[in-house]
Amino acid sequence: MSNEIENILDICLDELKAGTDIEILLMRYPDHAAELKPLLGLALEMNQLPKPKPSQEKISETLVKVGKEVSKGYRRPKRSFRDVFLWQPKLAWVTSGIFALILTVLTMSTLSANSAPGDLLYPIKLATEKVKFILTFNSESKAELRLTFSEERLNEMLDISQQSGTIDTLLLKSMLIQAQLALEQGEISDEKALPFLNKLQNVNNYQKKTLQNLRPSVDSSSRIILDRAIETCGMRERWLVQIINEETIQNSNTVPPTPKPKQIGKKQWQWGPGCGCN
Amino acid sequence: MSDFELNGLVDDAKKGDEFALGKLCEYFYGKVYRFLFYKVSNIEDAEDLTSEVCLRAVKALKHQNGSIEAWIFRIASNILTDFYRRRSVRKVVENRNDIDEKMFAKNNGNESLLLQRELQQKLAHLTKEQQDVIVLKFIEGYETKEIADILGKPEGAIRALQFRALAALKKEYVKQD
Repeated sequence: MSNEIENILDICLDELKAGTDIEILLMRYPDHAAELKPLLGLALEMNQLPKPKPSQEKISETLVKVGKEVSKGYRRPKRSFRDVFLWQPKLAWVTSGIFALILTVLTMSTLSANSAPGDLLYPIKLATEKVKFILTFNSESKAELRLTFSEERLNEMLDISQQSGTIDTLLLKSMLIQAQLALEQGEISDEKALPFLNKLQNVNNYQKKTLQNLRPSVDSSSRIILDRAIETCGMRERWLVQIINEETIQNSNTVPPTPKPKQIGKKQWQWGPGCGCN
Repeated sequence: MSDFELNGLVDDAKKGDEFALGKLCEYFYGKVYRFLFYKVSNIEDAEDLTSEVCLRAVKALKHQNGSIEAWIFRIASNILTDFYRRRSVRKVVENRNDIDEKMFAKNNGNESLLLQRELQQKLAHLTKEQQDVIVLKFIEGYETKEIADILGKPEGAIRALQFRALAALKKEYVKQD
């Protein structure tokens, strides 16, 4: 019963809104006419009631506020990486490609670190060394890097000679050249000159001793090449001793100068005559 | 405005189209204002709350789903609840005879405004849900189905609410006579 009157009222309200007269509606539902009449009358009054209008000034004010809000954040919403990639798939591909490339290069350079000449990854090892060298901007660090490369070539040469009993002349030559270039790399500050020369001397002595130890185990033709290399190391050793002595004397005789922090002296050497490694 | 036009505006506004956003705000400002007008004590509050509804809707528009009208009125309803809570004015609103006299005095002789004020006073004696149904049905002109969507209730419940609300309102008018 209750549901029925609610449904009838709803139907009547729709018809009233559409313009049907109240009396016609009441005639349709005579059993509920008494109950419906005051409600429909009130509904009609409310339907005809003028609607409250907001002031135009307030609407404009709100639109200005909305405009400000839009310029603050809505127009340029903070995008997460996910959103950026979602809307710019090309960027996603490029970024993935770059990441994949970096990952591949890092993996290859790590794997190639222990490779030997003849290995598939050996060219990558050499390329990695070149990149490292190019990306090093300090001349002292570059000289250090040359020494590292020189030692690396020696180790590679030892591995090959142990396996085949011969000397890889290219590696030997590269070892000597890298050591030479380390010294000629560029200017080295006064304070680091002596430690660097000492290090170079140690490397040179170690290389000379290693070559001397290697000599009995290689064939006669390789022995001739080794002898020339050992001789070169020997000459370098003598020259380094001389230079180190000079540096030591110079350092001990030097009266501490007035501090001039921005005018630090630089040293640059060339191997003495006959020290070439050709 | 047709549903098609409205949905088009909403889509454009979501994409950041400022013109569409402005149009939407203008369209809903009047509706929300009328809805709030009969529920608060004065015009200034109704206008301020309507502005707040517009701003909150703009901020959250990207996350809007479903019926835009239902969504806007839900925001308005939430803001109204916050407003009552903030000011603890529910009791004051229930006694609207004493408030906003200045506004009505200023519009002395304006019959429309007097009728609106009278309805506002009578509505204050109804429950919040009954007020919502009366305003949405007779002031905004929504269909029962649309009101059910806006208030999140079944259509049957809205018909029942509508019947009880009209009966209660009629009683208030009879009391006065």
